Amino acid sequence: MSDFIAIFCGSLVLTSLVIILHLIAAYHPYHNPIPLVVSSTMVMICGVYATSLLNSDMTYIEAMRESVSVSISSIIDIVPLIYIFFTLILAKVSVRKRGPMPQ
Amino acid sequence: MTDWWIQWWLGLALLVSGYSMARMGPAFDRSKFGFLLVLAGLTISLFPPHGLIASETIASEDLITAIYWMVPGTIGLYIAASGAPIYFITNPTRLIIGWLLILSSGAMMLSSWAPDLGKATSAIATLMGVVMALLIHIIAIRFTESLPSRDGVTLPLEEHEVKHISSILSSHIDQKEVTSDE
Repeated sequence: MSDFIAIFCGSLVLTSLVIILHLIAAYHPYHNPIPLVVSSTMVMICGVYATSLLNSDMTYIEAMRESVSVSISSIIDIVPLIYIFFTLILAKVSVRKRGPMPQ
Repeated sequence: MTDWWIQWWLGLALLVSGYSMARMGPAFDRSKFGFLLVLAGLTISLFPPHGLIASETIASEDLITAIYWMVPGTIGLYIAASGAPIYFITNPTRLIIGWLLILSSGAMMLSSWAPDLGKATSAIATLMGVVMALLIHIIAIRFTESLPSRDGVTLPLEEHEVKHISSILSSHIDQKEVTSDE
């Protein structure tokens, strides 16, 4: 069960990190990302803290590295299912017969 | 243990940042550098340094194994989608090339993919974490959008501005009436 919770917290941290990176990389003057960065940072801190409670012999950084890298592996394990899903959609689109283009 | 593990994480960060930049609107110049950053991130991630802990090494190996089928698979999906009759135009050459890439990368994927109960449990935990983080993010977006604008309430027009706009509108209406009479 502790592994399950550690992976859950790791993916919370990973998703929050990705959101923060996205907000910083895609920043533009017509956007106010501060509340979103703050909320994602809070989620990330909660995830890191929960992970460090599960791995009390590790530092915060080590606990975060451990759980986030395990969740990266899990996401890579899910990617084939997503690939199959997209392939099936594209197969349906590829054989679909369309009428003439509307004028 | 050295601090070179940061290099691997930096590569992943560049990968995500590059993708986000590449998906930016065309009005922002930074989007041009997006795919370059993705390539830099991929290159850095594909050469893991010393000093990674066990789970990072496994994640790095999984990533490298996945990239071998993911890259041709993604290119194949893109080419096949551009050749499929989505917008009433079919390009059979693109469709065939795309599907060849999709099928070959699918075969590579199936040879390296070995799902089991442990992986399924980890996948469920991961999906739950991702969904929860995204839900919190959506709630934060709704909250941000409910905040009042930083610009404040727009002030009403001054008297001279009202006269100016009225004159423009009336001249346009007059021109339209003249054209319709002709």
